[in-house]
Amino acid sequence: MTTSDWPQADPTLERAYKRLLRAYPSGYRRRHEREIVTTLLEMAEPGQQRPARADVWHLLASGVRQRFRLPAGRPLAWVFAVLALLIGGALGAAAGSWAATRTFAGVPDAAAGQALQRQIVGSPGIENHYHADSGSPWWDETAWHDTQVQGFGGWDPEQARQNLAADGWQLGEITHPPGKSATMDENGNTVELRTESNAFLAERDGVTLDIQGWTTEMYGSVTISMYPSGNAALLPLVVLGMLAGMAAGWLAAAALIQRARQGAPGRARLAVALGTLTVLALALPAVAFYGNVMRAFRYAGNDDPVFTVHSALRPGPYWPFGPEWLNLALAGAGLVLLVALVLTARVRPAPAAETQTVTS
Amino acid sequence: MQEPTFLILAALAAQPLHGYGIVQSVLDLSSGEVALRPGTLYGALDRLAEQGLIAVDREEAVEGRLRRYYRLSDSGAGALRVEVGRLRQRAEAAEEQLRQRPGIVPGLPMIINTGGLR
Repeated sequence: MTTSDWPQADPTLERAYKRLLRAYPSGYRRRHEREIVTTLLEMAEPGQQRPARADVWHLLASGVRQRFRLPAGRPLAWVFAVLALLIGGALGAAAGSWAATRTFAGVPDAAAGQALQRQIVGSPGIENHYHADSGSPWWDETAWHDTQVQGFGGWDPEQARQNLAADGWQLGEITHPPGKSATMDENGNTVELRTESNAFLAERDGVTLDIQGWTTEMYGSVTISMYPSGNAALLPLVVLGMLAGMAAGWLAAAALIQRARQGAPGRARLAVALGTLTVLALALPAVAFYGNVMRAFRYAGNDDPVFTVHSALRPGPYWPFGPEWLNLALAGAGLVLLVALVLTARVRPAPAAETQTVTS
Repeated sequence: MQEPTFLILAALAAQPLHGYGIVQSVLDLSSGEVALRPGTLYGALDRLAEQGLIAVDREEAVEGRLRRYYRLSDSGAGALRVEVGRLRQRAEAAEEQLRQRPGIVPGLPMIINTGGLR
């Protein structure tokens, strides 16, 4: 056998083909790059210096397709890849939601809350307090400011609206939510009190104020709830994050499966065990994220605090069972297991077939 | 079985071949109709190897070039034989359908049924 029938190609063409083959997964390149380049050079026209445009697109498309490809006849690989796709989509949606909230206005701090209290109530009242709320498994941080006032004259909602409007706040309609107040007389009988309620929304610079005042003849309270209004970035970023996460989940699963198959059987079994544990750990947080995706769409545009996806990691009563930090703990455990899985699967395969060297 | 897969298996039936050899053989077998491109070829070879229908026979290397020869496995030969039988059956059935086509009698001019001749 001689080298005379081996392709003698322009080095530029060979380099161009090798660059194009980077579209393929690294493991696949290790196994097949030299033989594919040899075949490509054998198929090249004499004197050709650069790949044909059709070949460029074909190789790029084939490389990307190979990255998504799962081994044939392995139904468990498909199950694992589909679960990875779903979990990746959930994590991506949460990441998109988190990124979107970075563009939201901040919650007014205590000083800003105090200034708003003065603007809305007009006086310190009997007493007033600022409260920061770290949020819930469904929405991000909020804050509210409570003021105790004296009787019907203790708060003038019309004056509050004028003050806010003068300061550039956009005001919603004033409403009178139904409600009752009662007290007990000296005989222990319940006596209903005449109650006035006034509520309205105000919005400026991406912050919403939900103002509610309840007053009776003797006593009253004004509550100013403060939270970001949200913006149009949230839902698109959630969807984009979900799609990117799905693609990443599938790609990661395909790569891990291929690497595990190339490794030693013991490592492959360990990878399967770690993969199973990772999926189990991330399943519940993923379901919580998808639940929050549904809420984010369902309650979009409401006057309430903005529903976000990543909030599911915040401790709270998301599930009717388990501790309040269940989602956070499982997500953390899942990510640790994922890192262990990646490290386990990082095995370079040994060359499989015997190679003979051709002499000239 | 898709046509490129069938042709690759057929190409390897007679002897082990390397990538370019398979491309040329498939071109011959398909009378020039199927020109395999490397991405398609190696995707198919990878899949067929995973399914156990082909196996690496040997490798030749020279100056950074590598020719990997693939051969048809026994199960690959079995799968090819089954596919050949299936295609033959389809072809015979289609031929029979053509024979039964009304108005075509070999050696005679076409009879046109106008509905007026009874």
